[in-house]
Formats: sequence, structure tokens, C-alpha cells
Amino acid sequence: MNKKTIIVLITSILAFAIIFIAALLIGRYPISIDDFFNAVFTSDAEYQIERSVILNLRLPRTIMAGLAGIGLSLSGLLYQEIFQNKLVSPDLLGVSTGASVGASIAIVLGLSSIFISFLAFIVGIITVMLTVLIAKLFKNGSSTILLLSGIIVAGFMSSILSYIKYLANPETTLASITYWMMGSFENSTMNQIYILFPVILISTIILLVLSWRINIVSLGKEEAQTKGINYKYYRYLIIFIATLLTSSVVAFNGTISWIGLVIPHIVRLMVGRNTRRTIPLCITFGGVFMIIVDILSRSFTDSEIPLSAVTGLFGTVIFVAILLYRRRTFDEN
Amino acid sequence: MKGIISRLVFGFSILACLGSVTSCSENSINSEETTITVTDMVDDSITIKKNPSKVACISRTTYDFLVAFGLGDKIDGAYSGTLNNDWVSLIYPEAENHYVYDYENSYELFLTRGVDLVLAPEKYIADDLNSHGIPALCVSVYGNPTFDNYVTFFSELITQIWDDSEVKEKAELWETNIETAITDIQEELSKHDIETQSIFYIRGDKDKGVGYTDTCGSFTEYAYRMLGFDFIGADLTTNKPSVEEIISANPDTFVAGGIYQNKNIELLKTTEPYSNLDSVKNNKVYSIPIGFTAFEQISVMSPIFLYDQANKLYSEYFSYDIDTMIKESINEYFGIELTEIQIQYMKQGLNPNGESQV
Repeated sequence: MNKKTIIVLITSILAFAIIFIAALLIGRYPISIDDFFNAVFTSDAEYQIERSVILNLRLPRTIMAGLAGIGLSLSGLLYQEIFQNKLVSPDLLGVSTGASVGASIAIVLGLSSIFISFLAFIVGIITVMLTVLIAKLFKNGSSTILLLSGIIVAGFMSSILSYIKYLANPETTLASITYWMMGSFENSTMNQIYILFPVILISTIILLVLSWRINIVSLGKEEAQTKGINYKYYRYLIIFIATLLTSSVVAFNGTISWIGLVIPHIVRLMVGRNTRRTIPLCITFGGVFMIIVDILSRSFTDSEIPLSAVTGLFGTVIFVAILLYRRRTFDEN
Repeated sequence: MKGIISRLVFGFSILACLGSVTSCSENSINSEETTITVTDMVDDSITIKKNPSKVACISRTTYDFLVAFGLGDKIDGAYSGTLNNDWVSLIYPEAENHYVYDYENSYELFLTRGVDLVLAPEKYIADDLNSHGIPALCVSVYGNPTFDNYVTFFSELITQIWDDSEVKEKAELWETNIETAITDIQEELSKHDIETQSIFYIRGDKDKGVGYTDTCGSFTEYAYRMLGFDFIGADLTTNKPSVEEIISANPDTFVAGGIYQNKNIELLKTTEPYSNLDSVKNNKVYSIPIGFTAFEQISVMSPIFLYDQANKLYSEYFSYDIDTMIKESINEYFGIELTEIQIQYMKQGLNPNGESQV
């Protein structure tokens, strides 16, 4: 890592820590800094409600937001590198649409939240497997075929989703499906974090270990083979990890758009394409971005604003800013 | 020859014109006799058939009124959410003959079934149906800006649409009952120096947890305001406030209604941070009975809803005999004799067998 990357990384780690604490302090229920310390560091019964708000409401959702940000940013980065396409987002291979189908089925059947997450995860994974299977039918290992296959399967899942929404009760389940698809950390619990945290942690460690191989695989098949890398194996391994990250995040929180597209762009803008630098920064930037989004989604109105509404708003503005910046630097060169 | 033909053509034309004028005037006379122009809840004037005989009750506040006022045989069907209630089949067994409608239905369904009036829950549904030639009136569960001017709206509308002395009699009885209930309670409350307390209503007709309520414009907001409470939902911009918003409002009292009320009350008492609130610790959490409809919904049971809540919220001032009121009211409007145990289940928000409805 060069000096610039280290500075950016340390700054972003500090920002992560500050934003994390701020997230525990900010919300619709007003908590002063004194009350915060009394609630967290004493067992005074006077601060029972504050303690409960911090530990039962804000802490789980802030951790969840951080994990979701890390997971989606990393998977976005991986897809963009593997498919050599900077406009690719984590739901490229239909994982989000598939997860939405799984969640919708569970909601229509009236299953509990854990089964909603479980079905979302399973159907998300099955959808990607279907995408890979269809791509294999063409006996052409190119990324374009996989991308097209992803569009086909996502379209298919989208029509299934429409049919499920048509069948759903407009007054009850339809609203739940729609709300789930817009993403929320409202129902985050520590139990969900106990499941998601190891997935994100193990995936991140593997990616950090594999980072130099990801660099080579992202250069294409010929380049990878000349370097003695098993291109096919690593490509599918990286796709698997990216899918696992996306589907596990989406399963617990619903669909969250833009973050997987925007964060890798910001990170690349700062430290270049090398995944040995971009992966650590995607972790910190993704976490910070998502926690800020969560604070905004729950602090300004009586009810919570769906995450995708906030990420969409910020994502589009940031993306336009990135494009303008890139055009300016391109013109200068 | 040419002249004769011209005269014949002219003569036939005159006859044809006269014929059409006569038939038009006949039609208009018939039309005036068989139609009526009424104003619905959103101030739209709609011309509908007088005394309609096939009514689709999509708006949930309409079915029990029609049945209770003796117009059950004029109903073609009702919204599934209304009919999917064990109390309906017990109190009004003929309900099983009624068609089960969705919230939004195709035009062809209404046309096929020969529906002559749709009581729609929302303006856009009523507008859409009217624009396709299906007479529809909007009977919303919300008033604008509050429900104050709409409490007896549907009851009065019924008497305009159906020209029937028995229907009028029952409607007048109900209107008197609800006005009396409000006056009785308010007169008693005015005798005491009561500090206004806040109340949070948990709407349990859908499984949306504690954070689902009604806002300004609802009958519940009107009812609890009449009962002297500061209805927290009235100041909210949404009916789905976040947990922090509810905790921040720190309600003095919670009331829970709908089929999920027992689940929500349990959730309130066992889940932090709700369980840390003084109102929950002091057990100031009350249920709302469910019968033919949830009592907190504007219905023929609304007067009893007000008396029941007055008993619970001001137990030191009121002790109305709710059991007898329910028994007599159900008998008066639906001709059914409920058992004592069924009345207790009704008060506890359970089904007629004492089980949860979900």
C-alpha cells in the first residue's frame, strides 16, 4: 500500500468509528451525551429507556448497517472487476430479484421474519446458479454471455415477482412486499448479526487474501493464464463470494440499491484499480456510507424512510459528481 | 311523383322526430323516478339508481350498517377483509351467500354480477368505476380534515338511497344512540377536573406490530378526542411511526384494537424499550372489543365502543353495563342472541370460540 492509501484508510477508519458512535446518539428519541454515558456505562435505573433505545434499537441496526455497507460495496467491486464493467452492480446476476421472490413467497405464506430471510437467501443463490447454468448452455465462457444470462434470469424472476405481488393481499402482504423491497434496518436484531457477521468476516478475509489474484483475474482469461492462475476456478469463486455477500445482506435487510455501484467508483477514484487497496477502502467507505444512510432514514420523519429511497437520492448525485470529475480529469489530460 | 316522395319523406321525418321526443320525455320521467343524485364522502355528486338491490360493499365501514338497518338482502358482496371474520358468520349467517370481493376489482366483475352500486373505500376507486359506467360512491374510513362531520354520514346516506321507513327508523335510532353516548360521557367528564393525557392507538387489523396507528381524520382520533384524550396519531405525518417516535411521545395510555390486539399487547409488555414505559409498567394498556367489525371502526357498535372505552379509561367515573349493551344491540340490529361467554370473548378481541382470530 502506498502512503496515500494508508492515509485514506486511517482517515476512513476514524470516520467509521465516529459515525458509528454518532449513530448511537442520533435518533427520534432525544439522548444527550451525558445521558448516553450514564445509560451505557452505569446501571442507573433512571436511564433504563435510554439504555434500551441505545442497546436494543440503535446498536443492532448500526452494526447491521455497517455490515450491509461492507457486504454490498465489496460485492459491487468484485462484480465490476470480474466482468470488467464499471456499470455493474451486485444484483447483476439476478440475486436481488431472486431474493425478492423468495422473501415475497415467505411474506405471502405468512412466515416469520427468519423464514423470510432464509427463503430470500436460498432463492437468491438459486437464481445465480440458474444464471450460471444458462450461461453454460451456450458453451461460451465469456463474461458477456454470463451478463446476458443474468439479465434473462432477472427478467424471469421479475415476472414471477409481479405475479406474486398480484396474488398478494393489497391491504396486507402487498404493502409488506413493497416495503421489504425498498430495504430497511428497522427490524435488525443481534441474532441476525450473529448470523451475518461471520459471513461478512470470513468473506472479507478470503478476499483480502485473494486480492492480488482478483487483480489478475480482472485482466481477463489470457492474462490470467499467462500468470499461471486458474482463471475459471477463481472467477467462479469470486462470483460465489460476491453472491454470498449480496444475498446474505439482502436476505436480512431487503434490496438496497446504488451502494454497490457508487462506493467502488469513489474508492477507485481515490486509490486506483488495485484491489489490494480498493478492498480495504470498500470496507470502510461502504460501512460509513450505509450508517449515514441509516441515520438519515430514521431521524427526520415520524416513520422510517426506506433505505433505497435515501441511497437512490445520494447515489445518483454522487454518481453524477464522479462522472463530471472523471470527464474533467480526462479533459485536463 | 317527385313531390309526393318529398312530402312522404318529410312526413316520416316529422313522425320520427315526434316519436323520439316523446320517448325522451318518457325516459326522463322514469329516470327522475328511479334515480337519485347523492353526495359522497369526498363531495362528489353521483347519480345512482334509487333503492339499489345489488350493492358491493368494498368499503369496510358499509357492510354492517346495511345489514343492521335491514338491507342485507340488497347486498351482492363485500370486501374479503370484512367477511373474513368469525363473528360475521355467527351474527349474520346469510353472509356466506355474499360474494367475496377484493379491494380492487375489475369493471367486468361488477358488470357481470349486475352490481348497481359500489361503495368504494377510496376516491380513486370510485372515480375509476364511475368513469366506466359503474355507479360508485366513496365511503372512506377517514374524514377530511377530521371525522367530526362524518360520524352520521353513512347512516344519513343510507336513508337517502333507500326509501324505506324501517331503514329510516333504525338509522335514526343509531344516530340518537351515538349522540347520546358522546353527550353522556362528556357531561360526566365535565364534572371533574381532569388533566388531558396522551393516548396511543395500536391498530391491529394488520400484522404490523405496535408501530401501526391511525392519524388525524380517523374515527379513532375523533372518538378519543371526544373522550378527552390527546390522540398521539393526530400529530403524526404517518400511520407507521418508528419505535423511537413512540417512545419519544411517551404515551400515558395505550389502546389496542383489531384481530392482532392480543399479540400487540403481549409485544408491548415484553419488548424493550416499550416495556420500560411508565404506562406499560402501570398496565395502562387496554383492549378494544371485536364483533361484526372492530369496535373502533365506525359501525353500529360505535356507541358501545365509546361507553366501553370510557369505562376502561376512566374507571373511577364510569361503570356502564357493556355486556347488556352488546347483548341488546346485537339483538336489536341483527336479531341474534349472544351468550354471556360469547360477549366476554368479543370484549377480549377473540373469536366466538374464545380463540385468537389470527
